[in-house]
Amino acid sequence: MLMKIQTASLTGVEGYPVTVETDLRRGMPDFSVVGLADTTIRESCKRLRPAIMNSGYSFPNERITVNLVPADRPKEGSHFDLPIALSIIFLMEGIVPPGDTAFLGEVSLDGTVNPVQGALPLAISLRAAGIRSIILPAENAEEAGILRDVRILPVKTIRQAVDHISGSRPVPAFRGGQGQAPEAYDVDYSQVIGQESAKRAMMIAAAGNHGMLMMGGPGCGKTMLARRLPTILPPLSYEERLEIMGIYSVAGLLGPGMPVIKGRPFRSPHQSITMAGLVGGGARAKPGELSLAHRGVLFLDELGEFDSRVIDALRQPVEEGLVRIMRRQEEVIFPARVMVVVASNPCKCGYLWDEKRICTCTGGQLASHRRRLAGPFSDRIDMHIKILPVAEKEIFAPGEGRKPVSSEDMRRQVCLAMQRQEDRYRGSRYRSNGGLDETGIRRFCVLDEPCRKKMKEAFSGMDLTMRGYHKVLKIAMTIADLEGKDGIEPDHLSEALMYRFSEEDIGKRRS
Amino acid sequence: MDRRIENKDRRIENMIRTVSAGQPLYPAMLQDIRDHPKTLYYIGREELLKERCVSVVGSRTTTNYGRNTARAIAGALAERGIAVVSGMASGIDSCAHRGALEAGGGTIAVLGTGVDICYPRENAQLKEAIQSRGLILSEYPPGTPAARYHFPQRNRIISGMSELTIVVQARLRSGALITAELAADQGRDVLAVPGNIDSQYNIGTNQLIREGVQAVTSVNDVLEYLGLPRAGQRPMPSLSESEAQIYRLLAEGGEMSPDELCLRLSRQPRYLLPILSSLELKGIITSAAGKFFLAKR
Ligand SMILES: [Zn+2]
Repeated sequence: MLMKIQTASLTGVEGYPVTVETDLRRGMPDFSVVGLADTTIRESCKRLRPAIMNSGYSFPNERITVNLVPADRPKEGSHFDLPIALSIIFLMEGIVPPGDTAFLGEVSLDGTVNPVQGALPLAISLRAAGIRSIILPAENAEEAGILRDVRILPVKTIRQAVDHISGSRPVPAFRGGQGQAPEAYDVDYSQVIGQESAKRAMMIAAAGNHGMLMMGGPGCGKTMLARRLPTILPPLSYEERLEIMGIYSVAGLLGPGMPVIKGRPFRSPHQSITMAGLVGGGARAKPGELSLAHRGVLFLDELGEFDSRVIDALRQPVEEGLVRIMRRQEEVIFPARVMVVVASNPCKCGYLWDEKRICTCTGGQLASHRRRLAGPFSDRIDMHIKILPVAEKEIFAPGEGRKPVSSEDMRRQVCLAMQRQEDRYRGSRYRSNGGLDETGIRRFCVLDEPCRKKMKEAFSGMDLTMRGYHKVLKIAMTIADLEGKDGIEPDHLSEALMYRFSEEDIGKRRS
Repeated sequence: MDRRIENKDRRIENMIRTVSAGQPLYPAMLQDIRDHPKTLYYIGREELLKERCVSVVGSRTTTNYGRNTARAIAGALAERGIAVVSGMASGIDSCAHRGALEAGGGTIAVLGTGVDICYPRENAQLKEAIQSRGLILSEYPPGTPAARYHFPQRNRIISGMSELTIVVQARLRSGALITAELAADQGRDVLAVPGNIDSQYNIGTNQLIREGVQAVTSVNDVLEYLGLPRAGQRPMPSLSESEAQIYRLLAEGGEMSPDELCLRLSRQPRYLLPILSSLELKGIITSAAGKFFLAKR
């Protein structure tokens, strides 16, 4: 007797359909799983017997062989429990499940169905394979419920799943989850009083996807400004939200506390983070903070405090927009299209720029602070902005027609600038001004005569390097896009020069 | 390696000269004070010993404001042929020497060590520059290392050879306050630059003013005090209407952040930032620590 039922497996955040083929045969009672199943799946055999019997079904006293097809791809995860258990019960009870229904879930000895990690990407791959209904753990219904055009059937026990398929007691489809709710953030740039020029810089960075270094003393508002960046990036598309939720699902971060993702992520890992924690990997190939920030913002506060090898490991993935991890002969890929923002104090003690407090750093400490910021990752950082604490008079000055700029205003401009970039770079290998390489800069950031004159002056008058020159052109292009201009104008270059790296500001006090 | 150090020492050794009290080259004002040194060791342009001297002193830890003021005052004095005297310490002292050298004028560093010793070490380049374009001076014989009690001692020479001592920025208990006190005891004039009253960096100088020391409100104050010609307006590069407006705001308000300027102008950053940048490119303003101010011109 042979039973075939549908489930899926994961590589990274990509799912693919898997058929569970179960065969019952007279002979010495035995239970084996083949088809590159890892130990967790093979272990489950021992659990399934009591789980099935405790659910009120008989367990075959025969030779059971389960084959997971395609057999040449490694498989892991506890979500194979439910489909394997059901395949045995269906064989024993003579039930034939419809071919467009798939199953996933972990089971306990008492027959209850427990939530699994990666339910959403599993469900996405099943939907793509033409599956119409998915029976899955009730706790995973909310995340999978974001999927349109597939029926999510949440179950709490093995018995509920069997009763649904046999038709004796159908499970109502899950409806109207929070996953369909509109994008929402609990912060907004209108809450940031003063700092209008920093907000302008945030808008430019967001519009052109420019990496940014924010420098300023403790408590001046660096984190507050960075945390609001997701609110001015374009509204999440449905597909983007699926991508993000897929990653969080695989990471095991979706659950009762956070059933769905409401907006673009903002991740701010601690300086003590390991390489696996930041870029991903480790024993079970989990996505790292970099991928958890996918389609959102990765914020590295106090950049100099991170292990420089960990920061170095970000370089390639950030450039490629994805993380590649080798795992059991398979390349696991986690998406990682992020906007990178880093922050730093002006010096080790933090008070270098403070007129009221005394900086206690030695000359050597200032120099080493500067060296740490000029590390290998700095060529991914186009913009350098200085954040000062808001003066009291600015806090108490509103009212005179100076309404703080809101996220909505800023996002509208960012979207227009992004649209212009999309039009310009269509058919090329570029996506944003921040991603332009030297060839791209030469091709797209064209300077007319007045602009060339301005840059010539800047070269001789300011401490501008060749690399700094290229960054200025990229930023100027974004400013032109924000202003709705087709080409770079001298004023755009002038403003862009304000965001250049200037050695002067890092670690120079005792002159 | 040993030989190289030896060679270098010998090179400096050959440059060291001495002058004793009573000799014509001995600074006249210094000769007037009670405890003037018997012998002075020096390296550099000895004609500076006969120049009119003004000392510009202050704390080691400073702000942009202090540094820029020290440079501006020293530069204006040096341009007018005054030798700027200071102690070559980090902070204000170094800025005073630099300001004078940048203006193409003379400067005298009075050390608390032998003239062949560089203390603090980070000032090696500055010391080289002063040796060749100014004068290094000490009452201690060559080879004397840095010792705590030498520095207050040395301060009496700084104030003693100067007709005027200007304290630019001093924290509480700064050595510069000792110099000011010595100057007053020696019957010399003292001026102090006032500072932000919230700031730790200015407590010492503000205290001097409260105690009756005359405040410096502009570089011209100093020039006037010494009977020197005021700063002549150097030709300004042509400014647009909007550039001139920002120039005036910074001239009146001192250093300001872009946000403060936006507030004053009731304009958005996108209007202001290109103007600030082009003023900076023209060399009219400069920035540090996120604030903008008029460049020393
Ligand atoms: Zn510090």
